Amino acid sequence: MNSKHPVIRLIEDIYSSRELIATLYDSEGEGVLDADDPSTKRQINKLSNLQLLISLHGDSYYLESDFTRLIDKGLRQDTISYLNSDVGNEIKKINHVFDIYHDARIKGQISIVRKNERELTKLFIAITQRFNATAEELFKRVQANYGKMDYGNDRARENKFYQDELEQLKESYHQVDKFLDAEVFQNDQLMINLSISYKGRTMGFFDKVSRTLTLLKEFAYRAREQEIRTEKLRALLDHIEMHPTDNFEDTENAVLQCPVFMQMSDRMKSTIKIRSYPNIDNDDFEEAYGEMIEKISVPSLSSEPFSREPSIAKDTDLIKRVREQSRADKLLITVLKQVISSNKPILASDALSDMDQMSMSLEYWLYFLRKNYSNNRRIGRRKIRAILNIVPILDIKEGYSGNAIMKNVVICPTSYSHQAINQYYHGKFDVK
Amino acid sequence: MSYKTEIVKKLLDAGVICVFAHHENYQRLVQDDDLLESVQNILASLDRKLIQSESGNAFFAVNAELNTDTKKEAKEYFRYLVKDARYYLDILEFFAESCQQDIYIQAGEKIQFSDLARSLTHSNSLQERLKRLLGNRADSDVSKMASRLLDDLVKSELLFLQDSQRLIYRFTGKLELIQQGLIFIVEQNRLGMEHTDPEDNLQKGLRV
Repeated sequence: MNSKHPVIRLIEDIYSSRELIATLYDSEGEGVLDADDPSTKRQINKLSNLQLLISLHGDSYYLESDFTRLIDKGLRQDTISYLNSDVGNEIKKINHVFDIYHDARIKGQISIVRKNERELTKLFIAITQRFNATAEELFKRVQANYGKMDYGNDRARENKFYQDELEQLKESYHQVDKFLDAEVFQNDQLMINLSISYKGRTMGFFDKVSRTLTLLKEFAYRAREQEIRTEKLRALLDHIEMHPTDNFEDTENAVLQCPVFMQMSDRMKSTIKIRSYPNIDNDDFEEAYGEMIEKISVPSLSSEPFSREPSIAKDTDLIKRVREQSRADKLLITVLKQVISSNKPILASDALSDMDQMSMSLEYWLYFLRKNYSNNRRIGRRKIRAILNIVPILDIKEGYSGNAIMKNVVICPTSYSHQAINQYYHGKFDVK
Repeated sequence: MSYKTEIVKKLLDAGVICVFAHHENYQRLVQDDDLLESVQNILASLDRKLIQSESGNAFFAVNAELNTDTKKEAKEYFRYLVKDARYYLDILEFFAESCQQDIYIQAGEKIQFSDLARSLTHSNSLQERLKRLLGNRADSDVSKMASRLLDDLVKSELLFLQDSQRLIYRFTGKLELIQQGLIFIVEQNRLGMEHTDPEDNLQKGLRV
């Protein structure tokens, strides 16, 4: 089996995500990627697994700083690492060109002098631009690092790297400065002019360097502050370990000095107390109040004078049920009397309509009859089962599953068998 | 629900709106002056005011007036924090050790589940710490214990899951408030300040 060298595999993985890397490199810091796009998602996953891509929040990502630096170095941009490592070569070049120029001037070789004059000017412009661009780049990166707002080991390491780079940059600048102070250059008008314009054009460099330094110091200060906080918190931990029962009761009275304690604790969420009355009439607050009032159940105060509406008695469901029950009770007694006196069956629905009790539903009346019958209810010390039979008439549909709807009930004397009922109703119902 | 309602609800619910966990709403409060004013007005009408944490990375609401009830509530909160102080400090020690850093972890810092599990696998002392933190919910499986702790912290809103694919968690601004409260206790009781007594320094100076 032909297995690839891991380095080749790594390079291939990076190569397959080249578009995403280029996009993020161009965005200089954080870039927003479309993670819904399958191709982008694949590339994100690949780079994340290689730990070359760092997720910020949502769809924002940035390239790992060492990886960015590697690209910077490879592209030989005017970046920190390139300038800082190459300033010696620049000086050597200036020195070399100056020597040729100086020699040619002594020898009166005008064309060589002019050619090297142009070359020296180019070199000075290049070195000026490099210092300015590097200072700008360094400032931007330090600013981005400062803005990330966390002080973990990674941030601290990155900050340290920028600190070192800044020192090196300053050192490179002074190296060029010192080089230009050489006596041999002081006697040459071209070099004097070039030095003056170089110093003039790099005025912005100092501004950028001092701003970078301020940010670096600020970061270091914040990191130091966190160190102090850690020391204090560790002191508290030590104290708690030594005095586990200390409740810091003396501090309790001072808590109002610390705004944190004026916030509601999580554990007190359930007892949120609002003592004021929200102004519901204010449109601006309306939406926000809606849910809040519901939650905190605070009665709202109206500016209108208090007036009370005359109370109207309304039937609640419970009252309706009690009334229905009482009517059904009366009807049952009437039906009982009727069945005993006539010794004939009667349909529950007929009994309901005959008694002009239409305000009661048939369903309830049937339910009432069945319930009283099955509960062995007594009326006048006699069980109703002993006086009458209650035979249900079921609505059996095709494909009977065992559950049938009771559509009516035959109330009949106990002497009536099912057959007799069927005969009485001429087979209208098939009572079984 | 409008942004304003969302923000006010969160604040009244003892919530913290921080740049890490509630990036959009935090930006709205910082950049939209009208929204900020509107939120402040609503809170003011409910006897609350909006406060920014020391670092400026988080917003939270506090009782605006000092009266018997609010003082009582503040003291109650203080007692809760004192009761939980040991737990929070153990959490800070645990994460400092797991990230191999000397300083305590703070709001905004990220924790990757795989890193945490790896650190736990290689460190017995870290495992012991975690077992102590979980109490009777400790398990022999390191990754189970790690997810239990992270879930607990997510529930208490100290942590939120930033990347569900790679299980990257991030500490919220609430951690800063808890640290602020604990440091207040330290400063009030002058804990750990025995060595920096100004009189001591003066004596040393005189001796020199």
